[in-house]
Order: sequence, then C-alpha cells, then structure tokens
Amino acid sequence: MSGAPAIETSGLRKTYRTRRGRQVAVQGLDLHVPAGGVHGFLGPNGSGKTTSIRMLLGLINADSGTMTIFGHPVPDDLPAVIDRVGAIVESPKFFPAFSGRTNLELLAGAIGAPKSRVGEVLEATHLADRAKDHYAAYSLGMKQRLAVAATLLKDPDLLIFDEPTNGLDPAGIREVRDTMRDLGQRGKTVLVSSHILAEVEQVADTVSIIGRGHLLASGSVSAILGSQGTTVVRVGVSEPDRAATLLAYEGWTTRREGTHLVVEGASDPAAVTRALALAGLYVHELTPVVPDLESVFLDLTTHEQLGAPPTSRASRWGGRK
Amino acid sequence: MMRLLVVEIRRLWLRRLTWFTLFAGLLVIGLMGVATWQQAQPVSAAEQAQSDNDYQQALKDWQANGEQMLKDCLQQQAEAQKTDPKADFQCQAASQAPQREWFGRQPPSFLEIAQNTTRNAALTVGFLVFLIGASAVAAEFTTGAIGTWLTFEPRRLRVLTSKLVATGVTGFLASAALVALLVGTTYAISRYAGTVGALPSDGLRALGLLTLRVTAAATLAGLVGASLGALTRHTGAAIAVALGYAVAIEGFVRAWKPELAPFLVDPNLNAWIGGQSTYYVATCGRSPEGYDCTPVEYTLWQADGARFGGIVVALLILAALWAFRHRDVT
Repeated sequence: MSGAPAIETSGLRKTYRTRRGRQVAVQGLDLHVPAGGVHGFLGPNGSGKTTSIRMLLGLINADSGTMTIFGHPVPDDLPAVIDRVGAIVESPKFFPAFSGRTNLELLAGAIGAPKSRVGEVLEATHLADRAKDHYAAYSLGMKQRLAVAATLLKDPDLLIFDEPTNGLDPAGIREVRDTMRDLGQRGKTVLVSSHILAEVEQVADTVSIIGRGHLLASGSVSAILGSQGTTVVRVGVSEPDRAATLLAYEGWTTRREGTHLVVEGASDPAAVTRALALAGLYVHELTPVVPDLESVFLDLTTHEQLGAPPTSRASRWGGRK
Repeated sequence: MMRLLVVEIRRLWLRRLTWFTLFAGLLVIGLMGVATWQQAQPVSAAEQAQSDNDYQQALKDWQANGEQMLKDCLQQQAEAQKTDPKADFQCQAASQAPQREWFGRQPPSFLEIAQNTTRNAALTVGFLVFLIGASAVAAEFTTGAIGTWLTFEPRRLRVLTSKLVATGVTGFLASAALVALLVGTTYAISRYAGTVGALPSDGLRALGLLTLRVTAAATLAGLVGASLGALTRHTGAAIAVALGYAVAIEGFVRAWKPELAPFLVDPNLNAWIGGQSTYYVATCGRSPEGYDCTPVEYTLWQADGARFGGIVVALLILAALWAFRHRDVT
C-alpha cells in the first residue's frame, strides 16, 4: 500500500431522512488527499465535511460510493488501518465524570498501548498538571488538547481534525495550528476540516473545497493562489474615470475602489501602464492583487449556494475540479 | 476482545452510578435488616403471658360453646346448599379444640427469613443491576464517547459484545455481593436474637440455590438493561421502556388475557425464583344452573421460567447487536 493516497473517495453519497423527506448531505464526493502534509478540507457549515469524515471513520454508513484510507477500502477494511488513523470529529467527546488520565488510560487499554504512553501524550499536550481533574471541569481548549492527546496514543500516520479550533482562544488556535504544522512536517498526513480559511491557509499544503456535498475544487494552495496573483492589479492613476473608460475600451474589466481602479484579467500588468501612458494618463501606483483562500472559497461556495456557476476567476482556479 | 472486555469492566467499576446503585442496594438491605430484626426477636415474657391467656380463654370458650358452634355452622351450611350445592363452610374447624401453637408469635428461623427476604429482594436487586447496565451503555451515546471509542476499535460487534459481557460480569458480581450481604445480615441478626433455629443441609442447599437463581435473574436484568441502553441510546428512555412495559403490557395483558401469562415476565420470573407459579384462567360455559365460570389453575415450572428468560434476553441482545451494527453513530 506504499504510495497510496492517504484518503481517496469516489462518488460518495449520503442522505438523511428528515421530516421534509430525504436530505442530501454528501453528493458524489470525489476526494483525494495525498499522503504527507496538511490538507485543508473546506466548506461552509452544512456542506458535508463532518458527514464525509464520519463516513470515512465508519461512524455512519454511506449510501453509495467508495472510500480508501492508505489504499485500504473502508469501512470494510477499517480495522486493518485504524491504528494508523487518529481523529477528532467535531467536538472532543469523552466520559465527563472520568479524569483526563482515566479517559486516556481506557483508550490506551483498548488498543494495547502501554500506560507510559498516556503520560507521554499528556506531557506532549501540556495536560500533565490537570490530568487528574474530571474531564467535565476542563476548558474547551483543554478538551481539545485531550482529544489531540488521544489521537497521539496511536502515533498515527493520518490525523483527522474536524473543526479543531472551534471555541478556542487565540493562544489555543495557535497551539493547534502549530501542532498540525509540526505533524505535517514530520511526514504525517493531517486532514483538517474547517470553515475558518485564514487558519487553514497558514498550515495547509493542499486543499479541497466542497459545497452542498460535492467537490468544488482541489489542489495545492500555492499553485492556486499563485495563478490568481497576476490576473488582478490595483491601479492608482490621476483620472480614474477616464482611465476606466479607456481600459474598458481596450478590453479589460475594471471597477472603482475609492480613488483606485481594480483591473481584472491583467495577466501582463505592463500592458495596462503602457495603454494608460499612451493616453497621457500616468500611473503612480500599480499593485498586484493576490487573492486569499477566503475570496476563492467565498466565490466558489457563494455561487454554489445560489445554484449558479462560479465566476470566471474561480473556474480558472488551478487544480482538480 | 479480551483487552476490550478488561477495559469495559474497569470502566463499569469506575462509574459513579455503579457505586451509587450498590449504595442504594445497601440501603435496601439495611431496611430489610430492620424488618428482619423485628421478626427475629424472641418472644418476650409479656407476649408469652398474653398468648397463654388467649389460649386458655379460647379453650374455655370452645369447651362451653364448641358443640353449639358446630351445630350452627352445619345448619347454616345446609341452608346455603339449598341454593348452592357446592357451599362449604369448613365446619370441621369448629369441631377441633384450639391448639397452643395457634396463639402468640413464633419467631421464624434464619432459613425461613432468609428465603423470604431473598425472594423479596429479587426485584430490587434486578432493577439496580438493570440500571447499571442501561446507564453504562446509554451514557456512551449521550456523551458521544462511543464515537471516540469507535475511532479506536471500529469492529462494532466486538465493541458491543465486550460491553454486554462486561455488564454480565459486573451484574453477576454486584448482585451476588448484594444477595450474599442480605443473607449474611439476616444470619447475623437471627444469631444475635438467638433465633437461628435448625440448619438442616437440605434447607441450606435450598437457600444457596435460591440465591444463585436470584443472582442469575439479576444478571439477566443487567443484560436487558445494557441491550435497551444500546437500542434506545438513553438511560431515561431505557428505564421508561422497562417501566412502561411492566405497567402497560404486564399489568394490562394479565388482567385482559390471563391465558397469556406464560408469555409475561412476572409469572415466569416467579416460577424461576420460587420453583413454580400459578395462574388462573376462567373456563365459562352453560351449566344446569345457568352460565357458569370456573377458574382453572395452571402452573408454570422453573424450567418454563428459565426458557422464557433465556429467549427474551437472547432476542434483546440480538436486536441490540443488529441495531448497533447498522445504525449511524452521530
């Protein structure tokens, strides 16, 4: 199974029975998560991220489709690969009346991990001092750290974090981010599902964006953002209205942004300055607009919600689709 | 599997509810001990004098009026038999002189009290063990910990089987401890009161078998609780199902269709614990006197109770395993 992607799904589908009939949660999802590094799994709330993760972990049954983890078909072959997978699905869930240590000891006992491992992961997640406290008395950040500690009991190759920073304070968010980055750098595969894009952008090597239960886009973050960076420029010019008319006549799409113009489709920014200079309009500022993941995400998912195709910018966005 | 079982047993004994339940069992044993204390007390001199006096009075009364009482009784019976030929006023009793042992209290022996209290405690012990099983499994669903658990051991049948077996082991140990404590307390009280009485080996053997049957029934109750916990995924719902069944099905069906008693829990439980239980079905039809209903007695034997209990528990366990295997864990 070496060289197999960490996660691969094909045509994954899940519907739920509701009072209003069957509701589609995941609709033909094709997901490819390469082994090694951090993979962001993005989508608005209700887009099917958690449902997909639950199906991968065998917690809920898929209606149709196939899934593999490190080449093992799941859920049938999940027992063969579960020791390589650590997961936190939604919020951490442990026995509230037991201490953090007891919760971990029970899990360690279930997988045959030595008791000493419990101490190690408690130290690693800075919970050793509070290990004897009841889980119910933990702050959300501590609960999240305990969940991370639980995943580390197995020393897994694939870690699945579902909305890992929900409810955390900035320090906690940073801690989780550092943990994910560190794990990714150590060759582990981290699948982090989130709707907080700035957080994912800082750690993810690759991303998949889903909306309404299916894949909208997927690929490496750097390629995606890099390819977007050269197409939009922000231009400071003395007569913006005249400049806008001129550039529109030349075939560029423009819009006013205060005293500046934003020019789209400017794959060669020098052409913009040349056209303006020939008309006697002199540029005093020209800045390439580098899109962030959030703008791409919003563009894709907003149109998905509205049922319309994404704008040309989003559809040009690199990677699988 | 063994690893999971050890972890589950450990978890059960770490649960506060397990200990609260055992503590509740101790309280019940304490209350039963008070009743035992009152029963086991030897007869006091005042009680003895009172019963002697009552006996002498009754003897005197019988010697003076016994013959007349018998005559009156037979006469009233003959009157009644004119309309109902089967009328029987038990007049022979009036012909018999009062006996000394009919008067005053005789403190029961240890074996008598122990048999009664163990039988009476069966339902309470069973319910407590049911609670241990139901809450242990259902709490995993209400806290969501079962999801975490399944990311460590995804083989669901193994997971639930380990929980059921752990509940069985814990239920057996808990109920055995409670029943042993009950019998031990009864013996201690009887001994202190000096009313232990004879301890024949067959009596002790019968008591030993009774405690085993009660323990077995309580263990099965624990398995029922665990299965209902897995099916309903909520302790309150599991208890509501059990109580609802007891009230709505057992009570209603027994009153409405007494011939269905062999398919109800209560008569079968009584048969298992007590050796046999009887139920009556009215057989009605036309007779020379008109429309007549005669109650016919039926007996459920210990083996019937065992068979019924085994089948019910097996079906519930299978249903729980099937549901846990196929239902989503959200």
